[in-house]
Amino acid sequence: MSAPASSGSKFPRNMRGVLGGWARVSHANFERWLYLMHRLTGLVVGLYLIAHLAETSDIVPAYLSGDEGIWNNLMQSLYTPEAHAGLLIIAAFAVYHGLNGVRLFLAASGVGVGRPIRPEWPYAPVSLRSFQRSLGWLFIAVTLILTAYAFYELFVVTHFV
Amino acid sequence: MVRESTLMWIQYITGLGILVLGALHFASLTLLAPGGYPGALEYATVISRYTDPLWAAALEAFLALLSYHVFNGFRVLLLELNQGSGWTKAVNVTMALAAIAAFLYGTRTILVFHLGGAI
Amino acid sequence: MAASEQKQLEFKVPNLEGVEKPIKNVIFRVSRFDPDRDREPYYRDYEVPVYRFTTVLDGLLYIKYNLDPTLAVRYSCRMGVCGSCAMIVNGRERLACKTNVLSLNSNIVTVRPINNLPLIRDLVTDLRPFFEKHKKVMPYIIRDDIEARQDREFLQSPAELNEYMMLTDCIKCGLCYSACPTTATDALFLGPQALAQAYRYTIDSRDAGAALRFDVVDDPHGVWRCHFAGACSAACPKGVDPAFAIQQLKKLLLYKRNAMKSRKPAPESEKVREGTSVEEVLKSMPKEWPSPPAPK
Repeated sequence: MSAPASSGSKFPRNMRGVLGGWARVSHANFERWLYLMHRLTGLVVGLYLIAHLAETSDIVPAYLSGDEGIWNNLMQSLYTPEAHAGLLIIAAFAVYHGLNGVRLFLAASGVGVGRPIRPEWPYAPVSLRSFQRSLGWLFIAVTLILTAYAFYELFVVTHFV
Repeated sequence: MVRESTLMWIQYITGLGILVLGALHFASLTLLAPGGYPGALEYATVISRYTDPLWAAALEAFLALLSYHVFNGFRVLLLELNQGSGWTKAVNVTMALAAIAAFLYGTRTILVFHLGGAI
Repeated sequence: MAASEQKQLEFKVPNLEGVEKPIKNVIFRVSRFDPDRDREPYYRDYEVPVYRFTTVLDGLLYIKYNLDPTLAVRYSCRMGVCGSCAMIVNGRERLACKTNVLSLNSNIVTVRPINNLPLIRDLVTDLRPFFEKHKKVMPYIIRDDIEARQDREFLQSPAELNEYMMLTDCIKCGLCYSACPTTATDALFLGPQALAQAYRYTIDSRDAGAALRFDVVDDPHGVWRCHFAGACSAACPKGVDPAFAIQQLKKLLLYKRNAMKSRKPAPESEKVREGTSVEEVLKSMPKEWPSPPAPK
C-alpha cells in the first residue's frame, strides 16, 4: 500500500489485500462471514485432499507385497486423539463448504435472493433479507449437528472420550 | 478458450456431486462398514472397498469430481491474488496439470486392484 | 366571533439542546496524506464542536475552515444524492453528509478514504478505474433502431420497469466497490457497481445488447469473481442492492443466455402522445416557461 516518495508511483494503490479485504471482519454482514468461511474451508479441505491421496496410496505397497503390516501400522500410528481431532476439523469444514456451496449455487441461479423492490429509507436491501439468509443459518445448524455426529464416530465410538 | 461461465457451471455441478459422493464416502467408513468406524480402516475392509466394482467406481467418480473442483477452486483464489499475464498463465497451466496429476495418481491406487499389480 | 372565544394557541418550547450551542467536542481522527511529502497515510486528530445535527461532512468542513485549510475532501450536494463524499467513518463505508456525528455514539470519529482505489491526497481517491469499469459494461440502451425515431417512447410495462428500477438509484459513490472483498486483491475485477449496471441495462426490456455485455461480464475477472459476500449491498447508501443484480446476472449467464440474446427489445409506441402529432406538440410548447407567482 505504501509507495516510495518519488514521482510516478506516489499514489498508493490503497488496496486492502487479503487480511483487510477477504478477512475483514469488522462490521461484516452475515454473508461476508459465510464467504470468508467458505474460502477457508475450501482451502483447508483442498489441501487435505492432496495429503489424503498420498496417505491412502500406501495401501498399494501393502497389497503388492502381501504385507498387511505396512497398512495396519500406518493406521495404528494415526489412531490418536490428535489425528482424530484433525479429521473432525476436516469433516466439519467439508460439510460446511458443501452446504454453503449449495446456498451459493441457488443464489447464482436466482433462488432465495428476493425480487426487486422500490427502496425506502432505511434502505434494507432485499437480497440480504431473503431466503438465502435463512438457508445460511439452517446450514450452519446442520453443520454443527453433523460435526457432533462426526465427534461421536471419531471420539466416542473409538473410546477416546 | 473456455468461457468462465462454463467453468463455473461445472464447478457447481461437481460440487453437488461431491456432496452426494462425499456423504457416501463418510457412510462407507461408518454406517456401512462392518465393525463401524474403527473396523473400516482394517486392511481387509479397505481392500474390499477397492476391489468391489461398485465401490471402486464410486471412488473413481468422487476423485474425478474432486480433482476438477479443488484445483479450479485453487485457480480462482490464485487469480484473485495477482493479475499479471505471466502469473495468470502460470496459474492456469499449473492448476490444470495438478488436477490431472491428482486424478492419475488416485486412479492408479484404485486400478492396481483391478490390473493384478501391473502398475 | 369574539376574540376571547378563540382558543388560546399553545406554544410548546422546542427542545433546543444542541441546536443553538454545541453539545460536546468530538475528536475527528482524519487520515492525511500528501503524496509529495509522505510515504504513507497517517492519522491526525482535530477537536470539533458538535451540534445535534452536525454531520461528518460538517465536521470535516469545520476542520477545513477553522483548523487546517490543507485538508482535501470531496463533497458537493451535502444531501446524499451526488455520491462525492463517500468515505470510511469508524470502520464503515458511509456518505459523510448523511452520517450524523452523535449517532456514531463515539467520542472519536475516525475518517479515512474509501478502499481499493488509488489514493491521491487525504480523503480523495482516484475514481477513474471505477468509472472506466462502469464504461466497460456499456451502461446505455443498445439496439439497432436507437436512432430511428427520436420523438416517441419505447413501450414498457410497469412490471418490466420494476425489474430494474431499484438499480437506477445508483449514485456512483464507490462505497460498494470499497466494501467488496474481491476488489481488495483483484485489480481487474469489474466491481459491484459496474456489474449491477450491466444487469440493469441487460434486463431492461428496451435493450438488445445482451450479447455484447455478456462477453464483457463473462470473464475470469467479471461476474464470476463475485462470491456473494453481500458487503456491497450492506454498504450501499441508496439501497440499490448490487448483490441482487449480480446473482441475477449469473442466472442469466447460466440459464438464459440464448433467450436473452434472441430477445426482441420493446417496440416503439405508435403514438407520440395520446391523439396528438409531433407538430402539434412542438407548436404548443411555450416560448417562455411560466414563472412562479410574485410574492404579495
